[in-house]
Amino acid sequence: MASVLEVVDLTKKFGGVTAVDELSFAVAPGEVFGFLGRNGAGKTTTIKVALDLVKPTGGEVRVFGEDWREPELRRRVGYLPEFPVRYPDLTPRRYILFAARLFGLARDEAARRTDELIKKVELEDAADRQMGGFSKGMLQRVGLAQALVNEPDLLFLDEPTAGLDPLGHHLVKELVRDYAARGKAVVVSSHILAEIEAQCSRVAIIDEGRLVAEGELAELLKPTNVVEVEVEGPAAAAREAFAKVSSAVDATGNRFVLTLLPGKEASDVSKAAASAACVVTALTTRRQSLEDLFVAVVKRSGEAPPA
Amino acid sequence: MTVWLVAREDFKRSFSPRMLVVLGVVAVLFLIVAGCLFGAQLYGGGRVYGAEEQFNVARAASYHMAVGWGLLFAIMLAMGAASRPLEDGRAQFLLTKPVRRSHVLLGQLVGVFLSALAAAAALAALASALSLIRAHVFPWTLWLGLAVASLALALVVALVAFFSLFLPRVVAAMLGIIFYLASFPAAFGAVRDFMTGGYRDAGLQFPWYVRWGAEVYFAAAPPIAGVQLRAGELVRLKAWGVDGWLTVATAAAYVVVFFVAAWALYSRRDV
Repeated sequence: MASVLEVVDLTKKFGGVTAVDELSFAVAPGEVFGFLGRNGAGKTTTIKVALDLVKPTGGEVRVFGEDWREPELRRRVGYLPEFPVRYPDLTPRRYILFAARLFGLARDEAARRTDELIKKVELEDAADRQMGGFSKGMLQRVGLAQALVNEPDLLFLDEPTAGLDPLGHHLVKELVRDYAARGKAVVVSSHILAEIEAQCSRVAIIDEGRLVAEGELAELLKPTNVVEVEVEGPAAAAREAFAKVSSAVDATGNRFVLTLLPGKEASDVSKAAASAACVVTALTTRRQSLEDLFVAVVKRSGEAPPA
Repeated sequence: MTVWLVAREDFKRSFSPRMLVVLGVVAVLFLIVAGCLFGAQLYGGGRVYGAEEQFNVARAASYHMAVGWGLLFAIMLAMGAASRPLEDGRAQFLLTKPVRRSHVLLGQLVGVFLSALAAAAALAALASALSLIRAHVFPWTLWLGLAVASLALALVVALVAFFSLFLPRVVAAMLGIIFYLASFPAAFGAVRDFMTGGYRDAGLQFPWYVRWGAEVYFAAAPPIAGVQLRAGELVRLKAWGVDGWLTVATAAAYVVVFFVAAWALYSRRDV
């Protein structure tokens, strides 16, 4: 399937500082793509280049297969910046309406869409108040609404949950899920790794502007030597049998968390359970968390000599 | 369409509550001065002006006050029109929409231009009201002059916006005021004739750098005051010859040049 976003050998230098260094990745339709990196790793710069806000030093970006600099392409693109709203004298309603009109929506359609989005981001009570006194979370909701006003096929969310309360987090999660379900692509740049892990199907991790890991989460997050097992049968016997295959056994009733000895696998756990006259009802191998992966690849990248 | 949307939003933003207070104060001051001009007995050449002469003086003075205020207002707004949104994130909001950079810049400058024109027109409206009350005459040439002088407003807007894209805003505004004031000598033909050769007839000699400086200045000075003064001749129903049209054409060319220069900078800027 053709990519909605294709970044090819992208380089951006600010004076002598290389913010993005020959970065390449692609995002497919219907994909929720996590874009991770430390502060200053080049995430926002990359997104800004894709939106033609920042001019690249080298490389190119293709959006829906076309040159990213074409303004008409942005009719199908939504963007929630890290600091979303800079019109303190406008009300959310006027701000979203303004965005809708800039996207070329007719007056009535723009007004209808504005009402719809105000409801969606749960800002009905504040819709006609000037945004000057709004909290970060409220501004984030307004920013989210303006990013969705054109029902984009490609949505960039830069730190979408910054400043949001738990309900706001939930709202963003629902929106992202809804968008992906409708075959639209979402690029989420965030520091909140648990959130990325829960929402994204694929991730790219960049460090100092360079791509250090990219792929499906399921592939990137390697299995660990920790196994969770649930058995039916005598728990004490099971514990004794599991101690032979693992270095640590953590038991809660008939549920065990085992740290396997080197060379032991999940099948050895089943065999051990059988030897204790127990039936395994559930067995899962714990995978590495995104945080573990992130820390590992970023550390590795920091240790590697510069190319 | 997008140019108009951006311009309209910037126009509305120009008249913030604080700015409306400033406008109110200026309007009151203007009413006091123009009210005196329309009502007082004026003297000149050792005699009291007749009603018509007095009306002409008051109308011309009102015109210059309105345009001067419009130019000042234009400079105040233009210094942040294009540069401030690049820094505060408003340009980012606009440029992530399907809008060309040139349209965003044009919209911002048109917004400032219309605001400055509205500020000048507000004073012209007050002058018109005074004229109707005092002289029972509607000063239509005042509006004609203002329409032509709007080109001076456009020129100042483009010039200051251009400077603000690579200089601190205050410096850009100062340059706008300097260019405006410095354009006055160039607006007077007699000064130009004297400085570009006429001084020899008076038995004077200037060093080469003054001569060259004068040549460059009179050839290149943006005709801000030139348009204001030429349009002022329309207000007073003086004959408007080739010189007037030439000044207008030069000003229009300058507007285009400064806009293109500003766009060249704006289009390359990272946001």
